[in-house]
Amino acid sequence: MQLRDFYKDKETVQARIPILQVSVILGFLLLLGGLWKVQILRHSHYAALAQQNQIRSIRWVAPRGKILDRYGRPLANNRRSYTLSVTRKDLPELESSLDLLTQGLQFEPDFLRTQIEKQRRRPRFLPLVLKEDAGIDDISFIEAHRQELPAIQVVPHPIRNYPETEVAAHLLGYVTEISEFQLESGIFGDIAKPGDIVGQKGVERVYDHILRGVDGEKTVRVDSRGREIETIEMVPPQAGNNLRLTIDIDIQRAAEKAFGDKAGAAVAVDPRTGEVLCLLSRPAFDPNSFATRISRQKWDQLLLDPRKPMQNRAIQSRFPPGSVFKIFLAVAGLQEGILTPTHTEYCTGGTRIYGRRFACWKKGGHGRVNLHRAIVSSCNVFFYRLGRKLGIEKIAVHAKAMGLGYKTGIDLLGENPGIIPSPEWKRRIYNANWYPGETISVAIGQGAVSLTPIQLARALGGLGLGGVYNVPHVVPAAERHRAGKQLPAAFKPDPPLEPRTVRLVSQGLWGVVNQYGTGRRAAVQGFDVCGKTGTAQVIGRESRERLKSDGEPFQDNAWFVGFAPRDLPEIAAAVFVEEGGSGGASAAPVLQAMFQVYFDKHKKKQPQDGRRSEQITFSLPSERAN
Amino acid sequence: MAKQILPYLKQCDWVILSLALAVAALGVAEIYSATQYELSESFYVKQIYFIILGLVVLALVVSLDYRLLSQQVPYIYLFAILSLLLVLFVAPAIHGTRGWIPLGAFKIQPAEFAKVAIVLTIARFLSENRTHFLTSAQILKACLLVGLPLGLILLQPDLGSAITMVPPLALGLVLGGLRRNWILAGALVATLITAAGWYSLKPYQKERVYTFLEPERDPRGQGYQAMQSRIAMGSGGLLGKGVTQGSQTALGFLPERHTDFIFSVVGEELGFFGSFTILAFYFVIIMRSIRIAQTARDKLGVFLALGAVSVLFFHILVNVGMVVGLAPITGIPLPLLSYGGSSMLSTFILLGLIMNVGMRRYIY
Repeated sequence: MQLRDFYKDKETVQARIPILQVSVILGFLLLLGGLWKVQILRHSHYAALAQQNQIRSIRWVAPRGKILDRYGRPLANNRRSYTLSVTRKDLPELESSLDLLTQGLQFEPDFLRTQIEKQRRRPRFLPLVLKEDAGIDDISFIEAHRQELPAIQVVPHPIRNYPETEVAAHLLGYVTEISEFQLESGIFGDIAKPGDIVGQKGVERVYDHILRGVDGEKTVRVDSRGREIETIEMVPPQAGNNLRLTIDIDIQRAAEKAFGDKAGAAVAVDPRTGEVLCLLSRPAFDPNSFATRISRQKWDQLLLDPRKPMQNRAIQSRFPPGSVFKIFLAVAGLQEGILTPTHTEYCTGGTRIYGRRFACWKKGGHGRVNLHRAIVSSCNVFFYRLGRKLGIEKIAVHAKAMGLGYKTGIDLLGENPGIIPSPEWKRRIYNANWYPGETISVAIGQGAVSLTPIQLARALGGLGLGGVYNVPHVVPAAERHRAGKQLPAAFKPDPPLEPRTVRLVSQGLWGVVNQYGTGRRAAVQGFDVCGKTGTAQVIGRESRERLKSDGEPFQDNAWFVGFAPRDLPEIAAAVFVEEGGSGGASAAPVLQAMFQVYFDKHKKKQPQDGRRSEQITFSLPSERAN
Repeated sequence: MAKQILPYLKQCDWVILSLALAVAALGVAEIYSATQYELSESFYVKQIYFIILGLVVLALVVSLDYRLLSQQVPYIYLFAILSLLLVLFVAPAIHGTRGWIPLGAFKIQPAEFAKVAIVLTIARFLSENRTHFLTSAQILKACLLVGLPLGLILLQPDLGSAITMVPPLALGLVLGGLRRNWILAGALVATLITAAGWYSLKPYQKERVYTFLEPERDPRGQGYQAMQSRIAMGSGGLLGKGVTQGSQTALGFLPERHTDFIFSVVGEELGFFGSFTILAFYFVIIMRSIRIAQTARDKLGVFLALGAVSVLFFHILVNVGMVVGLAPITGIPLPLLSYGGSSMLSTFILLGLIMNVGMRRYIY
């Protein structure tokens, strides 16, 4: 019974086992069919695809065009750099020579091991990079130890080089590998590929399409070990075009040297054309450090530095102009007919307007001052009263007519328009009414008025030329047209500046530098430099006094703006020194240094012009009014 | 002593064992080929250790009468559940899933051993049924027994391993006395569950299914593996490129080439000839195992052998199907061939169970 049950027990399962057998046979036939299809029927198709997998395109980096100064001297070029790498098949051999390599290539201990470890996940046909941007010492070490080392490939490729290092760093910009975002947004054009080196910031960025070459490509077939066995095609790279700038590196260097360690900016332009001769911003960075892979730490350091070294203060930052703004007030007064050369005010060291006392910087007062003296000695009281007479609307109209409060349109990115305040502006931004007292502050360049160095350089040059405001640019017209880069049209105020306005204000500015004015340190012997100092309070005087008593000296921001020569100026400049104290002391010497270089280069050889000295004496009568 | 062992050794299925060893040895060669340019990791040496360890475990499994083994089923089942729970709480997450418990130099994958536990549990459960057909209560109990570990594996989440729990259950129920109407109803329910399951799949899992249906859809992403696998297989042609000569393999286009996609390496380097041979070996192993089930002495033996066969067959079907493009990409290893200690050990245990049943069919 038990035994019978025993077999009966299995009847169902035994009866159904053939189902399983048939299923297994069918399953294996299915798999066999799959194998047959892939390996026999479609063999040639997949073999062709496998062949394609063995074809590698190797980028052949095109050298970037050089950036040259106006005389063809290099500001950015390329240097030959070497990448050291090994193919994967040489890895075991490499393992045994890690110590020797670490020593010879001067790596930190364990650096190579982590470097290799990092690259293990990359596709295996790519060589393992041991060192980028290897020096000549590294190459000779490799050559000397050929016997002991695995086959290390030494591949040359160009790396961007800035021979002047920090000089004109903001103007030139720098290059890095194109970012994911830039690639996706297509701002570098459709042909941009991952791994492309593109310009970031400055001329490198704006004229990237001129400077960037077209990378070549080497198509090779590799064997199963990733070794090149055959070169299929070679497309040589096309080098980028060189780009000449309007910059004069001598002027740039002189300005950088005169600047010392201070933060700030200096711009010099040729007002006749708008060509920028010098554009600097401090503190600067070394664009070379971006050309090779910049370390995260270094990058953070640059970005988080409270002194903001990446900011191009010459065009991207605006500051209250201080007394520099008096120039534009004088222009407005003369243009409006409110001001005449003989009009005088009496300065007692301060004045009461709208029930509030406004102080002059000279506590004892300037006594009786006319326009010329008011400019030369920068008398606040004179301009307070002029400002009150003009009113904020007219001040704004005339300042804007000289291009202030607008972007100049310079061929660089990130320009700040600055601020020329007006009641309408205040309503729009702060939704508040304009107080008459604010006009008085604006009259001496304090309060909401805020300008960029590039704006002031253009305005000064334009004033000296009699009211022609050319758009500043760093690439000369001919090359710019080739680059397809349009500038806004030059700016001509309507109504135009009257010759008398230009003459009177220029005379005043000449006096600032060449008479008893605050800008004596900007003088260049034989070059009629006209200029104006400016000192913008960072904080109110009272709180400053308080801070001072705490033992922490707090310096004002300093300006010096000017042009030369007085008649038909050839160079105009604006210098801004953060916490420079007085403009005459810290900013004027920078302008002087730039103008001196320009003068030595273009003017010295010419015989001294007798007529010019006559004009100087001619301008003196204005002092008699004092 | 020797006289006692000798009859067993005579009854031992040497064909299954030698075919299994042949496949495993070929696996070692292909793992060597697939990983020859890896830095300082010698997978093939480890695989040899796994095979030796597998043989030792197989000898142990074979030497114990399977009826004695089946008496330990409650403990084995409990141990499997506990180890799966342990995975969920202890194992580090790798790529969002956790499946391995690190143990010294090795990583243990409890899901692999849970498969063995399920085979034993199902066999014991069904063998205790003394009637021709199963009652609905019995069916429910069987489903719950399998559902618990299956659910735990899904939580890892490891869809591939979880699915491998289903074949021993399904096969066990169908062969173990499920009424015909029940089979049809089960098929219907399975279809519905598949449909419902689709909506509960994670996006990447859905993407895998889409990619399987249409690999060119995304040749750089999900479809990449499927495409590269087929390119490797297809370019192997009739005779292959020779061991260590596969360019697809060597150049590293093939992902997971020494684990889940080892059959592609075989296909590329040994061609249709090689892959057919491996398939033939598997076929013989499976058919002989079914034969052992047919001639088994008791119901327990039948279900043990069939359960083990169903797990092995399912792995082969899904893995090879995936490699040639007949099944979607799931992380299921190929028994005996893929690199991996847990998989190797569980495969040898299953083979051991089959041989165990075969050796004792005439011995009462």
